[in-house]
Amino acid sequence: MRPLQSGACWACIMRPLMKNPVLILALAVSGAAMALGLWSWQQWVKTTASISTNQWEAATVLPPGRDIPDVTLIDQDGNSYRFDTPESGWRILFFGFTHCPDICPGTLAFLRTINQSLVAEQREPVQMVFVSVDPQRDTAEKLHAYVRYFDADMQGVTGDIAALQKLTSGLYLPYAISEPDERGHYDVDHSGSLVLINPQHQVRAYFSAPHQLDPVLNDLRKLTAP
Amino acid sequence: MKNPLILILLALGLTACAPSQPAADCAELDVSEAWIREMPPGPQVTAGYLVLNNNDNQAITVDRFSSPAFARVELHESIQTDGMMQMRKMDALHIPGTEGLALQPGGWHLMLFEPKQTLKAGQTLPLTLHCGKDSVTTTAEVRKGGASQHEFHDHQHQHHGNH
Repeated sequence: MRPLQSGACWACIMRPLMKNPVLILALAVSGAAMALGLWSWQQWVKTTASISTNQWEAATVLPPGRDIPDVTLIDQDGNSYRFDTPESGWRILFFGFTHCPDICPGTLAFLRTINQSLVAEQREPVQMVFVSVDPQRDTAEKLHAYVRYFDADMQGVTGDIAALQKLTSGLYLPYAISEPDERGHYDVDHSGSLVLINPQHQVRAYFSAPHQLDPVLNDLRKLTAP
Repeated sequence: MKNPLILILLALGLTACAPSQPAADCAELDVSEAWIREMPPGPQVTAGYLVLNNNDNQAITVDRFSSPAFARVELHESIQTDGMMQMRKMDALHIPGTEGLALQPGGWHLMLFEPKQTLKAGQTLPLTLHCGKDSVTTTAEVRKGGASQHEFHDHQHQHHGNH
């Protein structure tokens, strides 16, 4: 076999090139453009990454202006509940059901700790709202006892299926009721996310599970600052 | 330790627990940090958590849990898929040789149905883990639990059954 002569190949490529200064210039310009493009792309990636990692520790923050779906629910005292009342402040919504032994009590205890921390810092507590997506079992009366166990100021709300579906699908937090077992017990699949609603009834941010106290608190202080 | 009888009994107990037989039992299973979430009023269901350590070289399978304080006890796993929290019933818990695992909030947990009496923080209740025909019973403390394991201090005891 003949040895590979790469030198000869280079010569055949380079020879016509050297004779044509326009071609050389064109190659140089396009090379520089590619380098510049690569550099600026890297800079852009660096900048955006630093914004998203530095500014928020736990929250996915939405641009302002996204209204919470317009629904009427029922609260733990049997009164109708709406999100767009003029006196409402910052709220955090969590969706679940009372027959949930692990995620829901853990999250509600977490929300209580959030408010205890805010109050200890002389800050306004956030209105915590537990939305039951299991209206068949969670009546207003049952919700009352349940939410008050966690926090005297926690609100418990539920509603008819149509209202709950409109609300959860509008927030992109679907739920699904599972088949009952042989003893009639059923679970409800639901989101573990927290939704932060601003006083203008707009969705401001989401916090995805699992929740950690300090990152959530740090973001909340910034997001709810006057 | 002044009483020699205690020493003899202890020695006998240790012999009974020696890993001479295959790990078809709970002999080399350490159960610790067991606790049960105090129930909010209303639902007749709560969760239990504990830490398991397998001191044997062979895997140990816990195939059933029970407690005289509840109508039934099931093993469940909370899993998050596409942002949805789901609970999945599990048949058994396999602990590989020389390894440990924890049942903790947001993951594997015991689902405790219909307590025989109202649960109050501070109470202690027996919880039994079955490995085939063998079993080990631990004492679980009822606590007001949060979302994470780190908030709690643990001072549980355990004793082995069927030895």
